[in-house]
Amino acid sequence: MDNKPPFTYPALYDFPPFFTKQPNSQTWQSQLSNWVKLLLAYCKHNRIWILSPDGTPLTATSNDDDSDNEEFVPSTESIFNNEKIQRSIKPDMSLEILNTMVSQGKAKWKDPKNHKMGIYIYWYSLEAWADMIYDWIENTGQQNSVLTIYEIRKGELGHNQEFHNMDMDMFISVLELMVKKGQAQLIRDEDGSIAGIKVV
Amino acid sequence: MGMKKLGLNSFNNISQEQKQFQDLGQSFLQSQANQLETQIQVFQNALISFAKQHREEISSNAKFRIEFSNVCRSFNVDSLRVLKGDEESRKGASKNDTFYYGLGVRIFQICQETKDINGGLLSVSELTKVLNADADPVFGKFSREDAMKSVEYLKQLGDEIQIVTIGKKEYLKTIPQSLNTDEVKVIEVCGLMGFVSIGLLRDNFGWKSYRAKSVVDDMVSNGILWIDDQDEHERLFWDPAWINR
Repeated sequence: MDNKPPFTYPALYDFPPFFTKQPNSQTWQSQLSNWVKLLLAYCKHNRIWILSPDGTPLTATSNDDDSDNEEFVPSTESIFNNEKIQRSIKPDMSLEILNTMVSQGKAKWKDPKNHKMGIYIYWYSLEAWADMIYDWIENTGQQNSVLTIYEIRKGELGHNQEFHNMDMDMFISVLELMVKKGQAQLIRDEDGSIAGIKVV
Repeated sequence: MGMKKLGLNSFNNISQEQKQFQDLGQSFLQSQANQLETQIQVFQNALISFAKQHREEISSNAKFRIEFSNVCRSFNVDSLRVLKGDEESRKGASKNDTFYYGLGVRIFQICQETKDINGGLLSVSELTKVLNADADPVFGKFSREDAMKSVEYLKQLGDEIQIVTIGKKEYLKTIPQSLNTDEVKVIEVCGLMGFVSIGLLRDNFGWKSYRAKSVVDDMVSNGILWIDDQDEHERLFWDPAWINR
């Protein structure tokens, strides 16, 4: 059961022009950065890993969901559409916002050639995720032992951690970054797939 | 190899003991944090009553004031609010330059920070909302009068901030150019409805369309109005002061 309070939208979200691209470039820059801030906070609150380009969640997990069903969708509401004031942003504007996030390292298209696949929203940078997992392993005294991916992502010990239930592909990216940073070694199965990691 | 087994066996990796240790550690940290919190609160209250007793000295002695502000900062206490005091003790207090200059600087910062959104025209009611966003009930709120007086103080330093009254609303203006009468009219209407449109200006004030269009277009390019193309009839021009109404 997920009983956290609903997301609190900023006052700007109920301001109708927030949904029309502003012609004044300085105003637009401020509008854009407010959209980026909103998307990050919204995805963090709802634990959305992958957002569809139309603003609905593609992959999201509640912290308490221990089933392996990662595709469950908490809502079909789009962040880009405000029912209350009957305003929604046009696809070219949302695309510009998402691409800005990509250029800032705050998001990444799952497949740049096929936007329908969705976009990873990094409400923490990969770097920050890597540090968070590293610190957790260290603080719980699990360094130098081999941990399976399941143990980190789904294990009971980490079930109150923010990375709990992280999207699998995103999780692999974090692990690969940890290896690159020299924080961990990957342990591979006979078939070459990643079986676990060992923090060194 | 000395490694743990992979696969199903590894699910038993988390021993009950390990989990208990973690729980214990967490409850220990929690109680430590609670204790610290109480201690800080006690100290914050002491700072406030100290400020009440020594307000005169704090504002007259620069060296003392700086030291006091430093102590406040390290305990996460807003020295401005402490110096402001509560309503009661302030009635008898003499005019406090330190307070008004300090608040003036903060108001100037808020004007700068919101300029990209409102084009340099900030309503005083919105300003007091921002100033009191994290208001602590102990100190009371910054009032409109506090804000206006601080702006008067800033005027001694230059003309960057001006107070303009449009309709029944007061605004702080940080743009150098003055507003012409048509622009003032537009802002006045916005103060009532949040927006104007060319049709609305034409029908209510008898303006020709090109006059209305040139006024609002100018205001958009100055960042004072935002456009909204999703009304069913015509483009609306919104006053950003409406965001936090």
